Amino acid sequence: MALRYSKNLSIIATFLSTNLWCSAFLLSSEIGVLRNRNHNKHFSTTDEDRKEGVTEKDSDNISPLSSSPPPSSSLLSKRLDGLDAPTVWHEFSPLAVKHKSINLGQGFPDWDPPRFVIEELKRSTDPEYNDANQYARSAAHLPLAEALRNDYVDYQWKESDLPTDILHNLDAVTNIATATGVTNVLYCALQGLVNPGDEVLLLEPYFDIYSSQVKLAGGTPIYCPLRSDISKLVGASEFFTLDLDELASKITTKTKVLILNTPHNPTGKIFNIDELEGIANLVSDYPNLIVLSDEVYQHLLFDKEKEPHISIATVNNGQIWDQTLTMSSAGKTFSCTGWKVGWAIGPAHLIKAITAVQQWCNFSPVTPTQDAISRALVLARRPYEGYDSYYDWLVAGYEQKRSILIDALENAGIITPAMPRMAVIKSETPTKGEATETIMPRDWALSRWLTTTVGVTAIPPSAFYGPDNLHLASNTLRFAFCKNEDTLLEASRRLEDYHFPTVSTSSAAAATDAELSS
Amino acid sequence: TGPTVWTEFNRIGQEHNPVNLGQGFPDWLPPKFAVDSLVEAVLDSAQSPHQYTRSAGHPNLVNQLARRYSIHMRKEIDPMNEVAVTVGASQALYLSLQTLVRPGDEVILFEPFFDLYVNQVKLAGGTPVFVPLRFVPYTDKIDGQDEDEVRGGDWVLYRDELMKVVSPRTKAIILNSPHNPTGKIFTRTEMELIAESLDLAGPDCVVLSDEVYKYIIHAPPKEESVSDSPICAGHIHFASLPGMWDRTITISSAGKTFSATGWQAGWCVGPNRLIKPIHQLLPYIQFCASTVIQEALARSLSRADQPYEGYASYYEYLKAKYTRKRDLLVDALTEAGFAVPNYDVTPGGGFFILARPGKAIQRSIPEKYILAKNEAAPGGVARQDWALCQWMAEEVGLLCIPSSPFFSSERVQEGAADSFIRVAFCKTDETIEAAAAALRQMK
Repeated sequence: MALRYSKNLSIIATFLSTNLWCSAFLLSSEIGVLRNRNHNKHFSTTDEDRKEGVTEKDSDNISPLSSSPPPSSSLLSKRLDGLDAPTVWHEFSPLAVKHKSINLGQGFPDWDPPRFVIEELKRSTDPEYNDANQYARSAAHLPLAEALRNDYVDYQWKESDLPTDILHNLDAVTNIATATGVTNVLYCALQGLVNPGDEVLLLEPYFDIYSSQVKLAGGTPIYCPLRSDISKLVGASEFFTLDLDELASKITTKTKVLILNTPHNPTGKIFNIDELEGIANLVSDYPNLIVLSDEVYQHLLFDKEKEPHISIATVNNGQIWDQTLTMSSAGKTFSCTGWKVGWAIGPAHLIKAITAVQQWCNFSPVTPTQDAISRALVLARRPYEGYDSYYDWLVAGYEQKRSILIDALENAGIITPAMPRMAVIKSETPTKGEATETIMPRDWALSRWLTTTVGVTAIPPSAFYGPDNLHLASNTLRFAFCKNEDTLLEASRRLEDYHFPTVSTSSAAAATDAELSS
Repeated sequence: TGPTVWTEFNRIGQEHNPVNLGQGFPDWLPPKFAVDSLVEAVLDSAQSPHQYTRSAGHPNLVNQLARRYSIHMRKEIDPMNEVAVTVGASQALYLSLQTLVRPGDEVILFEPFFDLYVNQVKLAGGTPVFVPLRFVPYTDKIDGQDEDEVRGGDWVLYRDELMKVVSPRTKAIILNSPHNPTGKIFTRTEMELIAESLDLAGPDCVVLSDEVYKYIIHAPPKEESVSDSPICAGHIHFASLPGMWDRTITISSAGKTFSATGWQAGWCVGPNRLIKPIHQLLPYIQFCASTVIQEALARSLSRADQPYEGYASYYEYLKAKYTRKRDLLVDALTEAGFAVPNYDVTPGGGFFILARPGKAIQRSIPEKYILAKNEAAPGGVARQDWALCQWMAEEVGLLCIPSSPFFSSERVQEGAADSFIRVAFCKTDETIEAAAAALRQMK
């Protein structure tokens, strides 16, 4: 399939990532046919694209949904309404395979977990660890709950503002729940906390799964967009800001939950202490409001001094400790996204909401992987490969990969990340191709074009916005750099090979400004 | 929420440390080839099953499952569209109910039932409707035994019990065979009854067939059934009955079969119209189930057909192992004065025995336990089954589970559960011997 899109593409690239993502901004001076007509994410693709699918051997293997007709509505419960559309992952992974593009879309590493983590899973099958093959305690495998408790008390929250009496009274049995990855923790939490009609606040852009999970729980997603400040092209955290007044305006008597994600997917923003204290202050005025804080990227920090990771549960002397569930997982930290070990830590009455649902949904999460992570957490704090800890080593590795991606985008001559300077380039794009009736948001179309023509796949962030704010994503693409160097270098070559013409900085800057503030 | 039979007896277990025949999981390792499969999967950097996999199920695993179910069902199963992988059979049930049940829908459960079902039905907004299995004691005379002594028997599904509650409001029927807690194997006639009842329910009604114990059929039915799967002797897959493929979601898991309940690898198999909605939900539940576990199971499945420990396959070995343990427990219980099923005449599967205390045992239960107030017990009061189990756990040194949590509160009040306790034999021979020793004290 092909796209009808603008002849002239002005591109500003700014380098904004603080963890896995690099947001590249693309600007169109002529809108062309790329209009955001379709507000409900039912973006169709050709059956041909879908059928292509993936082979078993492909590690990106996410099968498209089958092409049989949708089941009759009399048969299925209403909770499936609206969930029949393919997710952005179902669209782009097969497309990447079909066009043999370098997939910098999906956020998982293309390398193995570290040896010491793998060794621990092996140990969990040893006779000495027999219990690791049978049902875990439903709420959480106790060795893991204990290891988590110790890690938060001795390391993660040790220097935080959480009052010491709360910190030292943290109990593995009552203050911790584990589940099948944080997505599952969120599912259980929302099912346990949200009643039909409740509102759930999501900060846009948001991890796309959140909004569907909210609806599954009978809740109504309410969107509050992060705003872009074009004058602050320093880093993601400065570029994307949260207007506290705007957030406050979205809170009503029906607001039950606020989902916070820091470090933030897809922007890479890390919420700083002022922002978190501001949110905490606001939330504390609403004692029935619960914050679900998704912190899975917490260890992927590039400047711990300047931009540390802070848990909102701890700020202002634990001001909203009683209203917050802090969530994280092993997947991103230990490069084992397929192990699905996620957890929540928080006050007992909120943990119970998760465990109450879990006992009927999962019964209990997988045991051997929980068991392995319980020991991996301890080992990760020790000196590793010449670094003070595994976490320091991890960040150093990602820093290097981030550099390769920055250079790749820079050398391509079309997308120039800049920190702090900004370069703006205007380019021509090809107009030939089959006509299509498909209408989709611009970033979606650009991502498809980048895949099919340039041979690099990035994720269109409009997938992470609610229907009213899709346009805010028009000029962005999300690139992942959790890939090995050869992959990144190949992406670099392909971006370089495609010659994007340039425009003058000032005119494009003006155009961009106008565009982004609309 | 609140204390349950599990939390209560767990607590008692920890306080008094009795021999534990309560928990429904083995106290031995999975077979070596399964453990090796997990280790190999973990160490395989070529395949590297450490990252996200397909939401609907890891390709290597769904291919293996489709291969086997194609044989079971005698039809070609499409791995990509007719199989879904879940976190254990529990989640397979949960998701099936979530896709099917709307507020006001009724779901039929046969009593006694695995207690998880009730709350899963309610969570989906449905109303559980109970169809009792009737206990029919054996009628043959036993020398030296009082006529009114407690006896073993069969659990039977009667046509009118089922037909009178099935209606167009019925959205699902949960069939569990082999059955927890009775061990019953539903007969072909009973399954045909269920199939027939679907006509009363209407075209939208679906049967959820929970078959997790199907490879532990220690007392297969005597009559040969044409519906038996050639690779799962003694078990009739409900979906393989005429016309039933399209009306059934078949659910099973690796846990009981491979003594690996902690792997939590379960699945649904069925027509695409029923499986597709589950596929649609899965990304939002957890995105995908554990890749490394799915890969380990895929490899284990291809190995389980090989000769094992002197048996033609691992499945043969498993059945023989459980048959032997069953006999050990049957002897111990019978000697102590319990009435149990006669597995020469009553087909049985799974690893539980629903045992009935004889009169002597009933008389021995200390008064303080009987009808004692207990928040966790159905009705808030410890009836005979609960009292017996509590006494046995605290003072006799053997932990069993009362049967009342597996019955509806109405039937409990009628006394249907009073004379039954659930005893597990998925334990090492040493553990069962220790249980026998404790039981001997009761005489």
